[in-house]
Amino acid sequence: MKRMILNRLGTSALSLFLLVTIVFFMIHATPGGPAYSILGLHATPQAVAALDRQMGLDHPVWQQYGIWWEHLLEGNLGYSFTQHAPVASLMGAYLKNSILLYALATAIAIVFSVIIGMWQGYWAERTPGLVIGGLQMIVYSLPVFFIGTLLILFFAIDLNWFPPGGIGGDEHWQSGGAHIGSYIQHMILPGVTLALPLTAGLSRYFGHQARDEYRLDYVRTARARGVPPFRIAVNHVLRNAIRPLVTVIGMMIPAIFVGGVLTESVFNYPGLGWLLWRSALEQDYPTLTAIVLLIGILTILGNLGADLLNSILDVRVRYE
Amino acid sequence: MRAVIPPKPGPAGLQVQDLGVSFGRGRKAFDVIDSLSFQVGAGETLGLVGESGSGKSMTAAALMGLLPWGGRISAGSVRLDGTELTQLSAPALRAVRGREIGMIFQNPLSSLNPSLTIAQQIAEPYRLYGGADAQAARTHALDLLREVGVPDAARRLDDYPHQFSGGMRQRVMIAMALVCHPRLLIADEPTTALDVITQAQILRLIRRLQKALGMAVIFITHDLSLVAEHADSVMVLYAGRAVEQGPAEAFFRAPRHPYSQALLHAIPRLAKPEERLSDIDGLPPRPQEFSKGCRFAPRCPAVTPECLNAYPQRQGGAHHFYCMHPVGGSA
Repeated sequence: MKRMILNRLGTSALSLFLLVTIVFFMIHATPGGPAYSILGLHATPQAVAALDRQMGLDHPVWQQYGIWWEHLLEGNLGYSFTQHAPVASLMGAYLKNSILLYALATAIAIVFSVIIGMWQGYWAERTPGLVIGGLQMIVYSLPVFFIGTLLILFFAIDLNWFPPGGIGGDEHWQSGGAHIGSYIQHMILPGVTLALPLTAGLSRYFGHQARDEYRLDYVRTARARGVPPFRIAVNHVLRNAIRPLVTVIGMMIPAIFVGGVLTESVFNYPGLGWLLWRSALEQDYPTLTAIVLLIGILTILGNLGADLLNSILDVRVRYE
Repeated sequence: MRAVIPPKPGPAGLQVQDLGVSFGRGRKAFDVIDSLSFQVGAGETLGLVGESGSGKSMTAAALMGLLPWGGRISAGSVRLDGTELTQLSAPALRAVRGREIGMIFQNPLSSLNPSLTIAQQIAEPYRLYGGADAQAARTHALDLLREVGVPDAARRLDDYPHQFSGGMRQRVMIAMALVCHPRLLIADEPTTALDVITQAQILRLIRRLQKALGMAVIFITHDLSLVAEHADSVMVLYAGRAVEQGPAEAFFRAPRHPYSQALLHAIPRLAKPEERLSDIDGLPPRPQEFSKGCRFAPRCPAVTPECLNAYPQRQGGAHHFYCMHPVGGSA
């Protein structure tokens, strides 16, 4: 087990290193170089040279790479020329909004996936299981912007239960500030939108897991001993079926971010995904880079955490 | 041995009459078990013998009300100590499974839940149906583990199944089956996965507990030599029907059905090493292919055209069989 943990820590460190390195070289691969992307294609060569000097772009690449690492470790993510603020301080509020939204969506997805998956596993290869399977495929293939728009139409415009977007009455919503009550109200629709496709995928995975467990002999033993169906589901099947789920949730993190970008742009929700979308449109490369890095780091850490948690949960690994 | 739960009073044993099990509905329906009748008194052992697919395990599943999806008891009655099991509601049947019937399975590792400790698994029905609290259930589990001969039982209560050896796992399974002191124990090939020495220990243990608790035991196996050693009566199943049944002594002295005869010839014997082992050609029919005649006819050495026309009449008394051309001539 100790070897496994060291192994996973090593792989994660290597992944982080590669991520930082690849992102660095991607910036350098932008056509015309970073200065042109900041100043625009019609910039004079003098202005470009001046900016290059100011940003340290006249140093050799290996030196820049060293400085890049140094800045990263100091938490210096660069300066956004379109928002006129340091990227690190700019991202804070957006990051908070996103983490809350993604946590809500993930929580919804996990709870419903476990419930739906247990049903699907119990009814596997019979009508209810097949119906659930069909619904999962339909929901899974619906694009987030379609689900989001539909939800806005029904619940925001027709029924007027939830606001159609944004983050509250505060006119400074772009900086991420809002009151708690309206904050939650504004999170429901985007949260559900993001959770739906996640639930479809996760419940399908979990349903197969539960079905496989239901076929095992220990379920027959429990039935033969008069254990009621609900108790078999919770005390026997769920206990074994839920373990791999931790790993899968870890692997879902990139999908959450992808869905997050779309959801936040549909709902004008000022989170990381919205910021990513805006900075891509405005060619705000420092912000874009920082978000890509952050998403990459969170993904790697999420997978690491899931693997470690899984090894703790598995009694067979724990005791060997 | 100290009895963990005091024996229950009342008339004892299992009576099965004309049991039939069907799958499917309407024109697609087919029987997998047909006209099965037998009884096992308290303290007695019935050996249920047959090839894979003969309906042994399906019979056990029917007795417990645990038929696979799509299967149902289509005829007959199952009475345990006078209670008709086929008429019970699902919760009542669960209580019977929890309290009155214990079952031991073939593969003890896969039959145990890998994520629950031995103590949790043994005690589960005792807490559900015995009304015991956690502490009482744990004490009871410990007593049972000692009773089935798990060494150092107190220390092993919180171990997980994978930490036990094959023989010890089967002992744990036996402890689980006995937790509420059942009146009927169904052992479905309990020793198939074990080595010969462990096999003998497990069979002795089952016998000792049966004597002490006065349980009826149904011993399901394809191994006739185990039946000869351990059973009071024998029932040979072929393609979902009993072809021959009766007291073990009479059966082994003179088996009458050609199929029983063939099964006995397939047992290796140390006494006659020069004798060639015979096997039975062909495969048993699938339930969808059951004919109206004798189902063994296509593989039978004594087959005649009349065997294919109608199912043979019952012949004999306590020891009876269904064959028109029995071994040793007609009765």
